[in-house]
Amino acid sequence: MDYELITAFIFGLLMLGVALGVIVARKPFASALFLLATLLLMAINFALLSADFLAVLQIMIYVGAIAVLIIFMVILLGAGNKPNEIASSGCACFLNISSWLDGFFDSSSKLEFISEWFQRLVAQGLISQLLTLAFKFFLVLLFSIGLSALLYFSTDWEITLPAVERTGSIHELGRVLFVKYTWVVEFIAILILVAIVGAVMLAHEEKQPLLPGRGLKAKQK
Amino acid sequence: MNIEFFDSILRVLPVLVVITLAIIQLLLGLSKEKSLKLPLLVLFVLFAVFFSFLGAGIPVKNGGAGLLFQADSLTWSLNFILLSAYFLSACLNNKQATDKSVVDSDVLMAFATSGAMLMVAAANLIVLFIGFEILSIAVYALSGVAKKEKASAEASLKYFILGCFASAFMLYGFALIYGATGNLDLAVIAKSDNTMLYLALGLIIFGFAFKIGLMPFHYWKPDVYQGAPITVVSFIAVVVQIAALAAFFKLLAISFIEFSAVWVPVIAGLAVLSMTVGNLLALRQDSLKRMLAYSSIAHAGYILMAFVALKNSAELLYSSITYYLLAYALMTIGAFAVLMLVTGAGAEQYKKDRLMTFDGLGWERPALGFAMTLFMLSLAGIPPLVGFVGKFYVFSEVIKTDLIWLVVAAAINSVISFCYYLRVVLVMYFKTEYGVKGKKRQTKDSLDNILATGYLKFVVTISAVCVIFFGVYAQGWTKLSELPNNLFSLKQSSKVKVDGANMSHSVELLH
Amino acid sequence: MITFYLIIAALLFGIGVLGILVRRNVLVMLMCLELMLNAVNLTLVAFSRLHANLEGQIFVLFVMCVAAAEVVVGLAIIVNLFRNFYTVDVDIANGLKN
Repeated sequence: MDYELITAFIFGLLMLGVALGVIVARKPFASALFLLATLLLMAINFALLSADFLAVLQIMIYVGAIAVLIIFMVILLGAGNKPNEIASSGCACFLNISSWLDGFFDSSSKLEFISEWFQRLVAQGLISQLLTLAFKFFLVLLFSIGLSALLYFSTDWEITLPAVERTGSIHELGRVLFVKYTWVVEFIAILILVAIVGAVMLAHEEKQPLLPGRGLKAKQK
Repeated sequence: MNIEFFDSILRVLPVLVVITLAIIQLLLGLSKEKSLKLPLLVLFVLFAVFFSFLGAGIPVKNGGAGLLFQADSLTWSLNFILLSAYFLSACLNNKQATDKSVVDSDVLMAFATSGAMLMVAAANLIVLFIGFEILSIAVYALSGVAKKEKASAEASLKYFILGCFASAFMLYGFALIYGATGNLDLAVIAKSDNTMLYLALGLIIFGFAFKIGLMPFHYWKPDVYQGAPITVVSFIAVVVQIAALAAFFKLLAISFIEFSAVWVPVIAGLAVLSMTVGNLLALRQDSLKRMLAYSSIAHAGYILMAFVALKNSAELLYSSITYYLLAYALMTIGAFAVLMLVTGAGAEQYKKDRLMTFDGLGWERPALGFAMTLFMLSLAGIPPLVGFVGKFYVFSEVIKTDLIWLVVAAAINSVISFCYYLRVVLVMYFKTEYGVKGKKRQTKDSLDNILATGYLKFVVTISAVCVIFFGVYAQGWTKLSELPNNLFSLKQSSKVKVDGANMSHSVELLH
Repeated sequence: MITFYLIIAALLFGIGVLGILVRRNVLVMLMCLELMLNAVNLTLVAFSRLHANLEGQIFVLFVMCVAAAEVVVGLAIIVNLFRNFYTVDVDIANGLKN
């Protein structure tokens, strides 16, 4: 019984299932919770690959900071209220075939022989939305299945890994990090500074000046 | 402190100088001291140029930071272009469509430039990625600076989502490279051959095509260029574009040079698509900023065309690509500077961003009209300006390979592009259907700061002068980019060599 | 077994890509972006285990920091967007197409 393989299977497939929950969930808050679960399971995967420092770091950074921030935003921006409909995203407009599909279905002369119900569906744009959705889904399925198949066939490594001593300890990581990649650590600090400056610039709002009377009264209290 | 410590610092020093500038600007922003901006800028940019020059000239041992960064004449020429483009953009950065001070966008621009310089000096995939992310994150925040404008918020959102999307693809490619070779250094990757590298190449091309804005993935560009405030757009159109193209070039030239047979058709196809569709769509644009966005897509196509000649790897190719990048930088910054002088940088720039604003400009403000004519003609590729010479060099490089159809397509596209560039000139000088010739327009209201107008005119003048100068005297650029090699006789050969760091990991590290 | 992790990572990456293409809520798109970056992290750690090299894990460390910085700026951008449009729906905040 190869317990390592079985554990890897369980947690890997569980992670995929939970990740599917992120994109399928109707409310954004549910998506956020599914993301949290995915990140936790990812930490377990890291530990299974003997990267224990990274597993802890994953929990600290991703779960503890990033997922929490996202959940805050979901709550603050009131995005948890109404459920999302099936729709195509405006950003990825290079895959939006709904526009020319709408044009095709719009000319009413073609729709005389089609039933009333179908005409109503088309008028709502639902057919083009579903077609675009199917098109995108098919494309991404092709992409990820293709990617995994290519990875499977191009790596001719054996199924079980040879036993290697634990390589993910802090000592060895520190040795590589601070000897070879010292400069990169400094530039990461610059990156974080850039993120802080950018975020403060974008999200900061000037406080409204108090009216003279109100301000004085507040001070006297 | 032994000599290797100083050697390793020298490679990184230009980046550190620009970072120091950014931090000083951040601290100065707390004190609302405006008059120090230009002297500081000039001082630090000159220092950065000087250190980059030194780094390219003095041979450094390949240990320590040499595993992560490289400094040769290619890096020197790219740094020079980036720093001059940053200097001109920072001069343009005077008033935003917001009531806040302009310091934050200054600071972010400086940090973004440091990220760009990191990218062009990278010899390791991690450094390339970190530099790219510093640049990108600063620019995502920059494009949303005009907080009161809806267009700016939407532009920054689109740029952010699609930019991070592309970064993830690029990163996956880097991960597969690591998996195939077990190594992250650019020069070492070139020596291995593994089927997974083809997959990595595909993903990297996809990611970079998004970031550069090539044809099937260009959809963010017109929206972002139109929505972001004009000072930021001039920065994005030049610095980000050049840095992304340079990084792509380095990856293909150093790491994937053996796979030329695979990526040459893909790159050629992307180039032709970008040129053609960019030029065709630009014909229909009324907004100047969108038109310049499509023109930048087309110019990215022209530059990409030169990549197909990498297999022959002549030294002329490197200098012709950097020459085209310089030409593109000068023309685009000049065009944006003129646009800014005409539309202003306040909140009304979004309404004034039409061809109609240019009506009769040639007679009303003749110097400005002349400068804009220069920039438009240069973008279209008319001799003896810098745009024509750049295209000529690139075409002659591509002709040396067997892809003649590429040159023919590019020539046809240049002819098509005449139409929309010359349309601006026509509107400026001759009466069009707008028919408002003779009506006095208030063009100076938003730029109520005389100093700001002075900066803008300075940028326009310098760009116009350089457009003519480098067009007429093209060898000036070759001499400039070879200057560190020629001046420091310590270098063995004066050929342009892209020397990735040599791979001796362990020994020289722990001195 | 490394291949198994690679395939899981590839499928996770595909799920993230699908999420960005399909979902309309900007916050969910951000979450899918994090999924994509996590998939890359898993790939890197798996390859690091294969080559018994620590550079992959170092890369993962830096990618985590970059992801954190990206999320910070992304959330600020989303807040800015919300203040202007009062929605986080991408199809509504799409006025620039003329």
